[in-house]
Amino acid sequence: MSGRIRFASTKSISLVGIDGHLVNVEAHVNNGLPGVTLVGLPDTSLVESKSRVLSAFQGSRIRIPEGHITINLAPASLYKHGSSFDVAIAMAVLSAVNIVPYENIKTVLFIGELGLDGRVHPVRGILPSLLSAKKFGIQKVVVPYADQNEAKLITNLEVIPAGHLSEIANIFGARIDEMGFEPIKRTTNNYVDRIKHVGDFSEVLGQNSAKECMKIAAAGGHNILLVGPPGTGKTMLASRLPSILPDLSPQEALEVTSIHSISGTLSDSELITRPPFESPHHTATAPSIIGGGSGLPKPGAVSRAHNGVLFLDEAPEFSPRILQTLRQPLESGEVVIDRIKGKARYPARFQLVMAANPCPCGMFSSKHNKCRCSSIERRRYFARLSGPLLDRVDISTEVPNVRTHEISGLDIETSAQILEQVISARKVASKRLEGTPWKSNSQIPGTWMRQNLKISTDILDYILSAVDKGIISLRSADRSMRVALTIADLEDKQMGFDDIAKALQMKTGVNSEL
Amino acid sequence: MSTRQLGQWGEEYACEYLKAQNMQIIERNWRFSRYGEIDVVACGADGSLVFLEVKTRRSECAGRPIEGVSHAKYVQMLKCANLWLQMHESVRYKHVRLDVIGILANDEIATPELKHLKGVRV
Repeated sequence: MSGRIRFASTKSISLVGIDGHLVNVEAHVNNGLPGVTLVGLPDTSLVESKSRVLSAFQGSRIRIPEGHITINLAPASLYKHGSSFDVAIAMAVLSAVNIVPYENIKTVLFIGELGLDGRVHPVRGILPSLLSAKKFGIQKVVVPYADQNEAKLITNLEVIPAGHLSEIANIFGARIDEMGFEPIKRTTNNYVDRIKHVGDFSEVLGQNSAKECMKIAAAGGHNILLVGPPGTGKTMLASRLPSILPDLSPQEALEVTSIHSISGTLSDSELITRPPFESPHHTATAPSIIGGGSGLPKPGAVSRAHNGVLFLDEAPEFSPRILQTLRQPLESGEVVIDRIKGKARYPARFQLVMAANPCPCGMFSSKHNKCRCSSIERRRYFARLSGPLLDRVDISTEVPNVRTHEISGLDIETSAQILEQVISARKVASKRLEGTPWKSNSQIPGTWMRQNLKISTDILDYILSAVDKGIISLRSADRSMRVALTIADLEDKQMGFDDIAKALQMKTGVNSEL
Repeated sequence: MSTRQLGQWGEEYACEYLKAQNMQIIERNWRFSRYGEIDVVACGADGSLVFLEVKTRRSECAGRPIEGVSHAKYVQMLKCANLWLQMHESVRYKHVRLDVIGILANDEIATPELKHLKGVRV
C-alpha cells in the first residue's frame, strides 16, 4: 500500500431556511475497488452527485487513479440537500489524488452543480449562502458562471465565476487541457422585470375614497381589505399598490433577493430593489402559501412577499385553514416551519391586501342594493374571513359601483404623484422612528406608541370609549392609532382628533354595514 | 482472439508478473462448483497468502479493467477464498489478502498496462 494518505477537503455551504451552515467536504482515496461512497447525511439529490461528478471528470478528460473514493460532508449530523455540493466534491477528489495542490483549495468555498460534460450549472440560494460564508470568514468563493452577478452583490469577497470543471481545476493549480465550452445561462423568467411593470393609478376610474385608503396603506404599511361588487376595480387597485411603494432599502433588498434566490424565482441575478408583489390563487395549498415541501422547507408566498405586498384576491374563497396560517406571520413578521429534518426560519413581513365580494352574488352594496342573497348566505360568506384575521386588517374600504359623472372632468392623480406623497409621509415617520428597529408606522408596538408619542388624553379617551362599547378590540385600538399617525404624516402635522376619527371609520367601515 | 482466450492470456501474463515480483504461484483457476473460481492463489516472500482476480480488457470503452470487478464479484472472491482455506489447512501463512490485477492490452500498445491493487476492501 502507498504510504501517503490521499486526503483533501474543501468548503461548501448548506442552507437551512436562509441561514447557511459551513460544510467541510472531505475526500479520501484508498486502495479499494473503484467506486464512490458518499457519507454525511445527504439526501437523494445529493447522492446523485456521485454520478454527476464521475461523469464530469470524464467530460473534462481528467483521469482519476484507480481506488475507492470516500466523500464525507462534515458535520455529519447536519442534514444536507441539493446539487450545489458537486463542485466542492469534485475539487476535493482532484486534490486527494494530487491533481490540484491541497494548499490552494483548503480554505476556498465552492458552490455549483456539475453537468455530465463538466460544465457548471447555476444553483439556487447563492446570495444567502455567500452572506453566511462571509460570516464564517471565507475570503474566496467559486460560483457558477450564471450566478456571478448575484454573487458580486456582496462586497469584500473574492468571487471567481467558473463555467467548466477543467477551468476551475486549472485556476487552482492543475495542469490539464482546458475544454472549449459555452457557459450555461439561467433560463427562468425575469422576476425583476415582472414586478417593475405594474399599472398606474390613473388607469383606475373613480374610486377616489378607495384610492385615498390605498395611499394611506402605502404610506404606513397597513393591511387593507377592499370590498365591492364585481368589476369595480378592486383587483386593479390592489395590483397597482407596488407602484406607490418606495424603493427597498439596501438591507431590505438583500433580504428579499435572498429569499427569491432560494425559491428560484430570481432570474438574472439582479438585486430586487422594488417591493415584491405576490398574488396566490385561492386554490393554493397551505405549504405553498406559508412555505414547506419535502425535506427542508422552502419559502412560501408569504416569504416571497417579504418587504412587499401579499394580495389575496377573492379572499373568502381561500380555504379557512390557509387564512388562519396568515395570523402568525402577520403578528411576528416571520414564519418558522418545523420538519423532522430541520427547522427553517423565513422572514415574512408583508403588507396584506385582500379583495372580496360582499356576498356570493356580489351585488350587495350600500348605495343601490341589487343583492339576491339571503341574509344568512351573506353572513356565512363573509364569516369565512375570521374575526381574528379581520382584526389584523387596519383599513377596510368599500369599492362601490362607479357612476359616470364621478369619472369625467376630474384630474386624476398618477402613481408618481401619489408616490411623492407616500415618500414624504414615510420621511416624517422615519424621523419619528429614528434609532428604533421599526421602519413604518404599522410596525410600531402599542406600548412604545403610547409612552413616546404624547398622545393627548381626549384622543385616548375617545378611542378607549370605542373599545368599551365593544366596537373594536384593544389590538384594533392600537392599529387605528397607527393608521391615524399615518394620516397625520401624510399632511405632515401632529395627530389630531379628526385623524383618529377617520382611522376608526376606516377600521370599522365595511364591517358595520354587513 | 476470443474473450476467453484473452482472459487466459491475461492470467498467464499476470502470473509472469507475480513471479517477477518474487511470488510463488500455488494454484491456478481453482473452482469450487457453483461458488465460483479463483484465478490465482499466490504466496509472497513475506509469508502473505494472496487470492487474485485478473481482469483483462482490450479497450477502456466499458471502463478501466479494474472497474470490471463488481461488488458481487468481490463477495464471491471472499467466499471462495474462505473455502480454499478450509480445504488447505496445511498451508501456512502469516496474513491473507485479496488482490485485483487489471490488464489493458491491444495491438496499439507495445507493453500491456498492468495495474495491481493490493488488499482490496469494499
